Amino acid sequence: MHKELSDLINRNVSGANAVAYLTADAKKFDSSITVETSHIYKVVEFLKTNKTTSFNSLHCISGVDYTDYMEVCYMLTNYDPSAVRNLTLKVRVTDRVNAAIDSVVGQFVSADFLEREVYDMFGIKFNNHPDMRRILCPDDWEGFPLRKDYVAQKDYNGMTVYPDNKMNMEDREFIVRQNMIKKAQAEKAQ
Amino acid sequence: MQDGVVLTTLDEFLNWGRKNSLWPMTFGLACCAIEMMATGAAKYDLERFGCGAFMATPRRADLMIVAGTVTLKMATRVKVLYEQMAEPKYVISMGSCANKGGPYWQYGYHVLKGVDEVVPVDVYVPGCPPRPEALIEGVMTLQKKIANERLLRNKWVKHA
Amino acid sequence: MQTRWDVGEPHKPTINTSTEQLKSDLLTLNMGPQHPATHGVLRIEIWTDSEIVAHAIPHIGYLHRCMEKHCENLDFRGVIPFVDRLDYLASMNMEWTYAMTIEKMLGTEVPRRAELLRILTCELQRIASHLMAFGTYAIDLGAFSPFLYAFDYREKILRLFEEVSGARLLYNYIWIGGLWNDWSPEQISRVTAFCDDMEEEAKKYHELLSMNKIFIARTAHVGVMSVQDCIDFGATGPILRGAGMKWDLRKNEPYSLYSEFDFDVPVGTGEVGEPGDCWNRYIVRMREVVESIKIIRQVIEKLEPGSIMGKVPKVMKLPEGEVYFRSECPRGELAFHLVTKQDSKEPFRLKVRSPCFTHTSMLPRVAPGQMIADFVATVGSIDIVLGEIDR
Repeated sequence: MHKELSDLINRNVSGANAVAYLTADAKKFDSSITVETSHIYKVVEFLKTNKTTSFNSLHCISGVDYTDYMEVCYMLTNYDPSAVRNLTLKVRVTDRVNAAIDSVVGQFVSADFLEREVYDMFGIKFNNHPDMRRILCPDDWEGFPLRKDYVAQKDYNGMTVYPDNKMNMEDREFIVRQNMIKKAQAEKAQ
Repeated sequence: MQDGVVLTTLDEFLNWGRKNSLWPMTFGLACCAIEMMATGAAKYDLERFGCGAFMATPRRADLMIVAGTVTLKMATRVKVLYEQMAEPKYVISMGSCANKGGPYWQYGYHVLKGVDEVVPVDVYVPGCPPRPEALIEGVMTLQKKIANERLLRNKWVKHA
Repeated sequence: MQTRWDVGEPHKPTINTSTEQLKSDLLTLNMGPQHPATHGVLRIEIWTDSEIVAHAIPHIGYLHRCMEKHCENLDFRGVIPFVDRLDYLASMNMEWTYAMTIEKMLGTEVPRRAELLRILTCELQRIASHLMAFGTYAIDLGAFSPFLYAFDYREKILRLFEEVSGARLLYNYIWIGGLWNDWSPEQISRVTAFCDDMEEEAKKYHELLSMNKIFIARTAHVGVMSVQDCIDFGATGPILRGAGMKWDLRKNEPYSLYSEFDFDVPVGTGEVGEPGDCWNRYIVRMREVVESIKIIRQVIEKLEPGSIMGKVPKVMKLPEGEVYFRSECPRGELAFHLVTKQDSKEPFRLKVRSPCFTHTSMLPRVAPGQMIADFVATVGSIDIVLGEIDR
C-alpha cells in the first residue's frame, strides 16, 4: 500500500519526492512514507482532498530526535467503518538551531495543539501557525526537553529543580554507580 | 441535662473547636486527588472525623491537602492559594510526589521536588497513592498536633 | 433544533461609539488551575460579555510530569508504572495498550487465558472510569448524591482489583507477555455477582440522573459537537459516539480477542436533546457500562484454566523499528508511538497520543455563545483527566 501511495503522491504533487520505507516484517513494524520537508502542506492537502486516499483525520503528530536530524511524524487516519486506513507520514528537519516547517492547521484543525506540543518539546517552529507558543512548559522555559542533548535548567522562578539537600544517600550512590557502569561500557565499546 | 459549669483553659477550648472542624480545600492535582475524593465519599467518609466539608475556595478553608505532583508551573499557584487561606492554616502533603518528587525525581525537569519547597508542611502522608486509610491517619495526626497548640506561642498571634 | 443561546459567530460586545464613557469591554475570567469543575489543574481563560462566553482558551501543562523523558531512560518493563499514572482513572487500559505495543514488536504470543483476563479487567476498569465520570459530572451540575452512589460501586471494583493486584488505583498488573497474577475461581464468581448487581444499579442511575428534569435542562442542546467537528479535531471515544457516529476500535479494528465478543456500540441518537450535546455524550457512557457487563459475562463463560504468562526474554531487547498502536480506552483512542534502536534496553522515543488532549483542543470551538454555567457542563461532559493531557 505504501509503495502505491508514494507513487501517487509523486505523480500528483510535483517535487514531493515521496520515498516509501517498507519494513521487512509488516506484522511487527509500521511502514512509512517520507516526503520533502518544504512540501508537507501540499502533500497533506492532496491526501485529504484526493478521493482515492481521503485521509480525513489527523490522529497525532509526533517528533523524534535522532541527534543528527529530527523527524516529525504525522499519523493520518480515516474514519471509515468499511476500511480503516492508517498512514505514517514523515518529514526530516536537519537544522537544529532554526528548525521550521510549514504548519498543516489549514487542513486539519487538530494540528493546532499537536504542533504546539512538538514545538514545545523539540523546538521545531511551524510557519503559518495561528498561535505558536509553548503548551506544556511555561512560556519562559529554556531549552526543548525531549531533544537528546537537553540539559535541565538549574532553577526556575526562584525554585531549585534538583535541590541537593533532598537527595538520599542511597540515591546519590546509585547514580554514581550508574555513571561508573556507563563509563565502563563506553570504554569497552571504544 | 442540668446546667453546669465546665472549667477548661482557653487553649484547650480553641484547639478542641479547631481540630474538630477542619475544612479542607477542594484542591486536587493528580492521581492522589482521586484517593482524596474516595476518602470523602461513601465508604471511607472523612466527615466522621470532622474534616469533610470540602470548600471550593481557599478563603473559607483552613486545611490544604496537596494531593499530587506539584510542577514548577503550578508551584507559584500553590503558593498563592496557600497565602489566600486565613490563619490558622495547615498543610498535608499527600503522596510521594508532593513529599519529595516521588517517581518523577530523576528526569523530572519540570517537577518540584517536594511541596515544602514553597509552603510549610505539617503532615506528610507517604504512598503512591496513599490509601484512604493513610490519609485519615494523616488527618488524625494533624488533629493531635492541633490539640497541643498554644495560642500565645503561635507565630501568627505573635506577629499580629 | 438550535442551541438555547445560539448566537453563531463569536460574540462581539456592543460598543457605544457616541459616548466615550459608555464602553463595553470583554471581561477576562480565569477558570482554574484550582477550580472544582475542571477535574484537576486545567486552566481556561474565558472572555465573557456579561454571562455569555465570547472566547475560551485552554492553558494546559500544570501537570507536565516529564513522563516521556522518563520513558527514554527506563527499560521496557520499567515504563509500566509510569504508563499507569497517565490516565489514573483507567490505569488497566493504559497498561494493556502499552503491553500490546511491545508485544506487537516482540511478536509475543499471549496465552488465551491471559488475553481473556485482560479483557475482563479492562472492561471492569471501563465501568469504574465511567462511574467516576457519572459521579463527578453530577457534582459539576450541582447534584451531590449520584457521586456517593457511583463511588459506592466503584469501590467494589477497586476491591476486586486490590485483591488481584495489590493496589487500589495504580496497579502495575498487566505485564508484557501476560499478567502478574491469576484470578481465582472464587474471585471470578464475585465478578459475576458484581455484574448482576451493577446491571440493576445502572437502571437506578437512569432514574436518578439521566431522566431528571433539571439534569436534562442543564445538558440537552448544550455544547453541541457535530460529527464533522469531531473528525476535524480527531475526537474519539464517547465524544464521537455521542455525536452519532458508530466508531469503536473494538469493532472497527478489533485487537486482542474482541472480534469474538458480541456487543453493541451505543451512539447518541438524540431521544433527548440532539446528537452531539452533553446529554448524549453522558448517555453513551452509561450505556457502555451495560455493554461492558455483557462482555464480562461472555469472558467468564469462555474462561478456561491455563497459563497466564507468555514467553518473553528475560533481558528485553527490541529490534530496530517503530510502531504506532492504538486502542479504545474509556476516554477515547489512546495510542503509543514507539521508536526503538537496535539492541537497546529502553525506548528511543515513546509518544503518547492522548484522547483528552485532542478533546481539550475542541473547547475553543464549542465555547463561543454559551452561558458560563453551560460551559462548565461542556467541560464536565468531555471527562478530562489531566494526567493524560499533560503527561
